[in-house]
Amino acid sequence: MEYYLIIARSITYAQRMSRVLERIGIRAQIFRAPVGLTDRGCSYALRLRTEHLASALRALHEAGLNPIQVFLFQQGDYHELEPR
Amino acid sequence: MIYFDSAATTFQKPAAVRDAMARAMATMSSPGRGNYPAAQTAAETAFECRSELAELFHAESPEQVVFTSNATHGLNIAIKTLVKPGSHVVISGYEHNAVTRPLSAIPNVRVTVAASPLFRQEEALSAFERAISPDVDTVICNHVSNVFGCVLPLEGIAALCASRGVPLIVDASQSAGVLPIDLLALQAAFIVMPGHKGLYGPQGTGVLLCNHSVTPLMEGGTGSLSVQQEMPDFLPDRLEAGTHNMPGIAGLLEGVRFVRSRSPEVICQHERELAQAAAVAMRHIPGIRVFAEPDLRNQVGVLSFLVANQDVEAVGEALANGGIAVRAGFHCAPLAHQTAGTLQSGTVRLSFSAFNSKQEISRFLQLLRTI
Repeated sequence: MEYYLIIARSITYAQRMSRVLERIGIRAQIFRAPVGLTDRGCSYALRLRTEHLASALRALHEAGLNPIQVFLFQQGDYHELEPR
Repeated sequence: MIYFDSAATTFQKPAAVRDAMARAMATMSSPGRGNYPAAQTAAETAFECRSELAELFHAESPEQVVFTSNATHGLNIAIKTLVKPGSHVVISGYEHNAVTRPLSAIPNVRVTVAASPLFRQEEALSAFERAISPDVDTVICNHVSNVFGCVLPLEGIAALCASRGVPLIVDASQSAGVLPIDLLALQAAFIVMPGHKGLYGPQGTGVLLCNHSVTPLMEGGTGSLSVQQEMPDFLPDRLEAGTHNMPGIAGLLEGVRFVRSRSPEVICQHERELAQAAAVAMRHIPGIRVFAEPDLRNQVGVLSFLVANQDVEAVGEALANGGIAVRAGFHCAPLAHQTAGTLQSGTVRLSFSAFNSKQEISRFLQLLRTI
């Protein structure tokens, strides 16, 4: 199974992101990010289906909510996307 | 009991507040502490509460809404962020000890009191205009006096601060849930309020609206950036160290929903009508001195009075013995009494909520005539 993870700086920030995505019909579950993904300690993430990434990032950018990092989960491993 | 001490704490709460608190005890742990349902439900409730408060008080983002344990806690954060040793601070003549004591605790702070007579908004604004000199670092102003219910001209004071580039701290302890408050329009640095008064939440809740960088009063775990030893630089985490008061926040959420469903304007009108009915009748009782405007235009549902030749605490006790709860004394606001000329006597204070009625005023008047 492939999916994207959007890392947020706090749970409140992740909740704001989730509300923005809900408004464009994208449901994204919030959960605590895997420890190995960031060097910041506890972080929060939204899990997205692969087909939703582009529209999700666009909506978040328009709302002024920028992810700290974005990862693709593929073949059992996380791969960080280059910042655009 | 007839309860007329809502300026201290609204004692009667919507049933939904109690229900939500009991539900929180049974279903919630702490926001952000895990991927399990109890943590997720807590996170959802905290976010809902922040969002409702942000909408009610026109904050741009729920992240600007910080939970505190009461208004005093929020005022301490705001004051200790902006006021440093040697600062020059302007305050109104009606501030509570929650403002004046933290200021007294900071060394060498110069405080200028912009004093003005009761209920005179134009004079209050002029006093601030004169007091805000170029060397002023911070202005602190309560929106409504907790002793006399007089409304200060907050919009004008905020505009004055904005034009002179001075950060403003607003103590909205008596106005939150009763008068319109707009963080965006006021451009205040901080607005502080309790959850347990006009927002009908439980005791142990408060709110700090942040529109300025802020220094934590307390450090500790936040469930974020756990490997670093500094507090996070983002809100609300920067100011919310430790486990959240989830029963309190769940109750506060229902209190805020109650206020929004009725609207602050409707609640204020109701409380003003009660205060006016009491003031008009009390003026006809010999020996009573009431501190009220004829039309309560610049006053909300808080009313102080004196009984000739009677100690205020004795009056309060007599009313309590008759089943009526009021507050007597100095109301933790000696500066307000100094400004109004009641520092020797204190006052007896009636303060109303959405749950009081005119029948209760009649019962109070009956009892007062016998004292």
